[in-house]
Order: sequence, then structure tokens, then C-alpha cells
Amino acid sequence: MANSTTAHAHDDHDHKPHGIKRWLYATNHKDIGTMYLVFACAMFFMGGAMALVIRAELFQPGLQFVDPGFFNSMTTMHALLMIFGAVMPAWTGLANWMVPMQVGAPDMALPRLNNFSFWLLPFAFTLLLLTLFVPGGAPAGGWTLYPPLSLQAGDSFPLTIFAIHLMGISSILGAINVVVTILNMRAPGMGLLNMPLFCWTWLITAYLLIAVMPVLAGAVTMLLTDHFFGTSFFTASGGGDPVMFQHIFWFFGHPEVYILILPAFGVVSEIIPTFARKPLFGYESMVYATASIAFLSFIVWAHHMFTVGMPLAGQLFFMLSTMLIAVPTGVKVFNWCATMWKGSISFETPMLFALAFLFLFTLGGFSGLMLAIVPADFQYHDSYFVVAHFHYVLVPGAVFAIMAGVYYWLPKWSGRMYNEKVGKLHFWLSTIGVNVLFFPQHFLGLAGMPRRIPDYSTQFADWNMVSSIGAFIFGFSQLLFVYVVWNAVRSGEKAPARPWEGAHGLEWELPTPAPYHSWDTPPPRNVITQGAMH
Amino acid sequence: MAQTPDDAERSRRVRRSAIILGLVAASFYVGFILMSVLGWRQ
Repeated sequence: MANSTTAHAHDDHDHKPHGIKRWLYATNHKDIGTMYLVFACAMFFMGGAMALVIRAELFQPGLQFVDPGFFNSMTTMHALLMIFGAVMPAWTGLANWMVPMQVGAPDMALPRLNNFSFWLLPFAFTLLLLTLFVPGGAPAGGWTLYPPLSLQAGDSFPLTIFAIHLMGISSILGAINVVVTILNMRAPGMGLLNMPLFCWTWLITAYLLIAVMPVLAGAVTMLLTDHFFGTSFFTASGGGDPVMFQHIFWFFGHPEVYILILPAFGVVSEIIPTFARKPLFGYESMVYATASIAFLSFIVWAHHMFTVGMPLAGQLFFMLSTMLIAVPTGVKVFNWCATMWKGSISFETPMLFALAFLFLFTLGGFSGLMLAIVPADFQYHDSYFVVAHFHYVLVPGAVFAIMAGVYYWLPKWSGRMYNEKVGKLHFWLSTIGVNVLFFPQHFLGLAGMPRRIPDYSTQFADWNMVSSIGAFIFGFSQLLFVYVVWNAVRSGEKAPARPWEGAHGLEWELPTPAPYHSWDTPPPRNVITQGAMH
Repeated sequence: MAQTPDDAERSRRVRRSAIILGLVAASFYVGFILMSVLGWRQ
């Protein structure tokens, strides 16, 4: 504790730049973390608005509000914004805030690079959003950009490709920063296996990012040359192979799914022990399970494309390797349950979101197992069952974990407590909304409704109406989240240094709010070992 | 704040690992793009 006092004393003459320069030239990890989180929130609402356009159109059969081309643009842009604009930057924002505080470092290792990584994003998404106004409209071939459909795009095509390059470069630079910080900036005495799980999951995520974002860059560059320079990588008429694109894309795309979800495992592994008031069960097995999931993510890509046709041996390999992922994931789920077993559990908002994550992410995982079964996948492929599956993994999975993390660490960041009643209201409306929204989509998919269509047969009308009602409940309840955070930061009650009785970890040894410069002097070893508690 | 020998050593390590990871990422990035272009020429 002595050390945190030292850190605090040092920060009494805490000088920080003011005005626009503070943000434009930011090198402080907390400022950059805040910018990432605000940016992610803006993209979340923009992508969410697009989702509501989709669900409004699907409220009943027939074409009501938008023409089919624009509908297709909405599905494509919604996915690109949510994946690259909302979830990935939100995780980078949380990493910026928490990794230095959790490993006892004064800042990220490469602060100027950190600034550059962030400021690439507004340019990338300006380019992407500009496509809504160019001739031919925004990209409409799905976020997977499969040729030949994606090659038929209008003027949006080069803008989209360039935007994806910028997003990729930003992610790679951010990932390098996380790896370098964790490997070099840990306080003396903090071994890798003393690190909080959030740092571990982010370290592994960062390696995944460095490995696969260049693959996406290569794939979209080949699309670009096919479109503008007369190559035929993916054009069948020129001797190319469109299926090759799918292989390359999903070699990036499947690890990308784990890039979105591994940090969620880290956040949940921080929150459940805190509110169960018990150390995390099986810390080391959690680390090895995370690494195993990351490894397996490289050898399962073709389960996204069983229906394009492949040899039986290929089908078997990708089916079994996909099912194998259930083993390390099961280790995690059982460890979280074992952590809660006989714990003294309390149900504050972060814990509620973490528990919803545990149930609903597992549900999404089970429907993933169903999709991994080749003959079954031939039925489910490109149906609403797939839409239900990945939204269960990404919304009550990744998005709920981000919200859990924000509620959990907000008192430390801002020095203020959020309104627990409104937080819980937000949780219940979100959880009810998300299930009303996505659960019926399983039924629609099993009944044969294809994904990415603006109109449908009347037999699908009832469940689509239910799903759209859920979408509006979920969408509008997110305004409560903004209200809770805004209200807490503006006028919340003052938070103590350790607002959660069961919280352990170096971040809780710092004063509240966390000073602008923390851990200028590394924490002493006894604080690190007390903080580790696993 | 004066730099201690530990700080200097840490800066060296930070620089070294950043450069290594940067090179790995850049070679992947450029490598995939080059592979596509060279593949086309063949």
C-alpha cells in the first residue's frame, strides 16, 4: 500500500495537457483507453442503428422501408462496424486502461505508437462510412466480401479495401504495443504466471492479431488487383478460384472470432472471483486453455464453408478439430462454475453481466457444436440458425463482457460509483431483449429462413416479429448504459479505492480515481503477491 | 527524472521486442501481398 501512496503523492502535481491537444497528442494510456472506448461506443450505436433498420424491415413480410440493395448494405456495414469499429476497439480501450495498471507499469511501452494506432481508426471508419454516399452505395456483399459478388461493388470498393487496411494496421500496432508492454514492463517480481487473466488473454489475443490481420490484408489486396488490375485470383472466367478466397478469408476469420472473445474470458475471470469472494479456480489451466483455443483457432477455418464441397477427409478433420475446441472452452466454463461453488456470491451489475455471459455464451457455443457437425451444417448453413449462433457468442458474449468490464472498473477510472439500480435495469432489459431478439432466430433458421434477405415467406412472420420487438428493446435499453456511465462520471457518489470487497489485483492498490500517472515507482513484491491471489 | 541502469536496460528490451514484432508483422503483411502479386506473375 505504501507504494500506491507514493504513486499518489507523486501525482499530486499531476500535470496533464488540456483542451483538444490532450486528446490529439495523447500518449497517456488512460486517455488513449478512454478515446478507444468512446469511439467504440459511437460505432456500437451506429452499427446498432443499422441493425434496427434491418429488424424494422424484417418486422413483417414484404418490403416496407428500404430497397433490397440498401438492406444488403446495412447487413454488410452493420457487421463491419460492430466487429472492427465497436468490439475490437472496445477491447483495445480496456487493454489500454487496464494492462499497465495490472502489471504495475507506468504506461504502455510505446505511447506514441499507441496514439498513432488510435488515430488511424477515425480515418478508417470515415472512409467506410463515406461509402454510404458514393455511386453504387455502400458495400453490400456481406462482411466476408466473397467474390464474385464483392467484385461487383461500385465506387465503394476501393474505399472499403483501404479502410480495412487501415483498421488492420491499427490493430497490428495496438497488438505489438500490448505484447511489448506485457513482456517488458511488468513490475519486478511479477512472473507471467502471476499476471491477471485479463492480461494473459490479451497477450494471446495480440499474438493472434499479429498473425492473422496480414492474411486479411493479403486477401483484400488480391480482391483489389482482381477489380482494378486485371488479375484473376478469384475470377473463375480468368482461371481463378473464388473458393480460394473463402479459404484465405476464414483462415483470418476464425482466429478473428477468438480475437473478439478471448479478452471477454479475461474480464469474466476477473469479475467472477471478485463477486464470489473466492480465488479463481484453476488459474494455470485457464491460461493453458486460452492458449489451446488460440492454437486450435488456426486449424478449424473450413467449418465455415463445408457446403462448398471438400474431400471427406477434409470434412472430418475440420469437424473434429472444431469439436475439440469445446474441450478447453469447457475447462473454462467449469472453472468459472467451480470458482462460484460455495462462494459468498453477491449480484452487483458487473457480476450479473458476467453470469449472463456464462450462460448465454455457452448456449452460443452449443449451437456452434451443432454447426460443426457436417451433415447437420448442410441444413443450417446460411440460415438464420447461423445468425442466432454467432450473435449469441458476440452479443451476450463479447458485448456483455465489455459492459461487465466497464461497470467493474468504472469506479477505479472515474472515482465515482454508478447508479446500481439503473445498472441492474440496464442488465435486465438487455438480457431479456437479447434473448427475445436472438432465440427465435434459431427456430427461423431450423425452419429454413435464409440469412441476408429483406423479405421472406409468410410462414416466418411470427418469429420475425418477436425478434424485431426484442431488437428494439435491446437497442433502446443501451441508451441506459450511456446514461449510467455519464451520470456516474458527472455526479456519481465517490468511490472508495476498493469498491468491490473481494477485488484483488494491482489496479485496486492504486488510489481512486486512478491517478493520471500510476506506478511511476513499481509496486513492491508483497503487494504483487497479495494482489495475485490465485 | 534521471534514468537508472534498470530503466535503460528496460528501454533497450522494449525497443528490441517492438522492432522484432514490428518486423514479423510487416513481413507477414508485405509477404502476403507479395505472395499474391508474385503468384499472379507465375
